[in-house]
Amino acid sequence: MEGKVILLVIIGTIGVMLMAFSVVFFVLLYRRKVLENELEIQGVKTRHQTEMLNATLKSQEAERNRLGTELHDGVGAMLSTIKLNLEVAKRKGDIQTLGPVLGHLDDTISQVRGISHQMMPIILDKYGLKRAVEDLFDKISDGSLSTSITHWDESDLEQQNSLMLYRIVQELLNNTIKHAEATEIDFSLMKDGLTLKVQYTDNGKGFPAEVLENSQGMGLLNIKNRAQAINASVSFENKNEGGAKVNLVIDRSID
Amino acid sequence: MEVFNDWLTDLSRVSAIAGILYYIFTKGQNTPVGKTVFLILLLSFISDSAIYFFIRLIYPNSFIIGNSWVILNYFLMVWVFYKILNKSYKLCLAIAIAFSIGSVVTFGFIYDYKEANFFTSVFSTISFIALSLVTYFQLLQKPGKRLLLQPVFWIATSFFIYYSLLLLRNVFDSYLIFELNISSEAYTAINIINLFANITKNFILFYALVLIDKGYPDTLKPTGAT
Repeated sequence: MEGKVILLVIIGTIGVMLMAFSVVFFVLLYRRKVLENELEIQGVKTRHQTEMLNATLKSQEAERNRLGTELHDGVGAMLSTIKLNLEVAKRKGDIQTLGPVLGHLDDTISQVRGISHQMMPIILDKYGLKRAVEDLFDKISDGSLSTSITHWDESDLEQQNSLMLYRIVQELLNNTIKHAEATEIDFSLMKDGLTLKVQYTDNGKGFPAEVLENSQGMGLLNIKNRAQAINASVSFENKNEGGAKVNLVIDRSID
Repeated sequence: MEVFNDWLTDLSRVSAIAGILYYIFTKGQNTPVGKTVFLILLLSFISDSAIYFFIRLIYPNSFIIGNSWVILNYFLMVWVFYKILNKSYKLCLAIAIAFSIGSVVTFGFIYDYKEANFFTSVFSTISFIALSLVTYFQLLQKPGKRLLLQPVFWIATSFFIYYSLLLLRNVFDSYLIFELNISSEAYTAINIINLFANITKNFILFYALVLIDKGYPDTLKPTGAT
């Protein structure tokens, strides 16, 4: 009897010990797995952020190049002409020769205004996002492309966020004009509690499969980057009936 | 077997010294958890040494010291878990009260202080296995930490292994000694489990003190909480 009980205690203890060590190893393995997953997610996030940063830098560089070219070829050339005209007028001492200078100055002022409007659209500042988007749509609408705002709830977005959304719409319009061969563009902005739902659709060729797969190319990274800046999620898809559909959900709960 | 048992008994008795000396000669781990782990090691060393002399000089069995150790050690360990675990105040208070009432009742009406107390040994065993599992659970809830560098993990592991190894011994101890009147030779095998568990616990606690000394966080409470 004594021997049996001792044997029972010893074998039982070995069993319990094995279970205890199994628990400890399980805890260690589980944590290791979680750490590996966290590292993987961190890696994906870092890669994503790097891509975002690259896209931002690229777009900033492109914008600077464009501005530089416009200043050099437009405003710079105009100012050179004005200078030349003024030198001629000075040499001749004839005030009549200043006539064309006024015209050149008007052109220069108009060009500078145009550039400044592109940098920070006055209409957005003065009349708000809806008018600014309408203005954008008016500018691109012609006989072959029609645009419409199907729904618009007042959004009360901050100035900076409105500008971001405006830039996103600009980028989407750019895509449609450059790549989609669309004839219609629809846009809506709906308020749903603390979120704003923005939808942009066209009836063009839609996004190429590889662009949809990576959400890269065609300025999509730039759009995602801007969306992230205003705490929004963005999705790109192709409609069943053809054409692109972009949904943007702006979370305003942390404003 | 006897020689091995004696050798293991000596090693078990001094196994707490490494942690005690480390705590005394380093200044880094002056945290509530570090202090209490030191006290647990000190208590282990004192009670093991006291048993050694007590049996030879005063009384033929070690239960007077053993029972005192179980009670003091219980409250120190509950305190450690209270300091380690997040939101553990009610849990620790409840089991401390249950243990106190159970101890008073069992020692007052059921067991003599010179014999093994089934309630105190089994209740403390189950309490600390459960608290260790709660610690593991909370550790796994905390993101992004390497467990092997967490004093909390090692403290919970030392108690978890110690009490898991002693679970059956504590359940059957009274029966073996007082009902079956087991011979000391036969009891040696079971005693080896006890010694092995004690040595393992003390060395793991020593490692936990080293980690606390190195500055690794020794609590699962949010930063700033006490």
